[in-house]
Amino acid sequence: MTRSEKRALAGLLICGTVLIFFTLIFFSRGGAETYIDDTFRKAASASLFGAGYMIYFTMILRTRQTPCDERDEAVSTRAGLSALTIVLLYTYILSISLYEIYRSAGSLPVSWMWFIGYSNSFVGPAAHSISTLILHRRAGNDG
Amino acid sequence: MAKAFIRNRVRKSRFEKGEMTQQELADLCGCTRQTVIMLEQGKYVPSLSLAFMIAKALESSIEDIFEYISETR
Repeated sequence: MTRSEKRALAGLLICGTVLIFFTLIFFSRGGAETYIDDTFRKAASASLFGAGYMIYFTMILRTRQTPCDERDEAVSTRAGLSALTIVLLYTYILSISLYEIYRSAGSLPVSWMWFIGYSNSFVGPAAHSISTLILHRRAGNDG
Repeated sequence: MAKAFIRNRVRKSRFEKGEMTQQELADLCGCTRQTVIMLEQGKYVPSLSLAFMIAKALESSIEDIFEYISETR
């Protein structure tokens, strides 16, 4: 496993942990309907994302001197494009799903905006990490 | 439609150079061992600059290490 892959794996672990705990926080104690009025859950989410960002960026800064070659750079570029596509698809599918779920009600809880905003900020880096790991295994990037 | 790919003799040349290890070649070329592995397996085609560095490290010409193959369908 290259250092680039180890870095991607660490990023995936951090982002995955944040997303799992955020989902648990969001859907506990009444879910989306009560999230916006629940100060505890909002504070817990903010703390979780704050800590997650600090750990993630510390890891990024501490490993940015990691030696990499042209294949690592090519993989990173392609992973970035894949991550962008995944984030767009995630947002599209989530938005359409919410529309279908709440169509008969006529409106949806505003808390979902928090969910989309918060989760998107970590879905991107997680998707980049997954893409990096897959592309390193496939290695089909030519210089 | 012409389909082209690059075949290389890195593995053979490495052994002809006193059984140079993949790590030694990678260090000489400034790339990772994984890149050398992928190159030897034919799963990765290097950039022109890396191809020149590999040829230099193996004390060969680029034509001796890399071969351009074109297939016309």
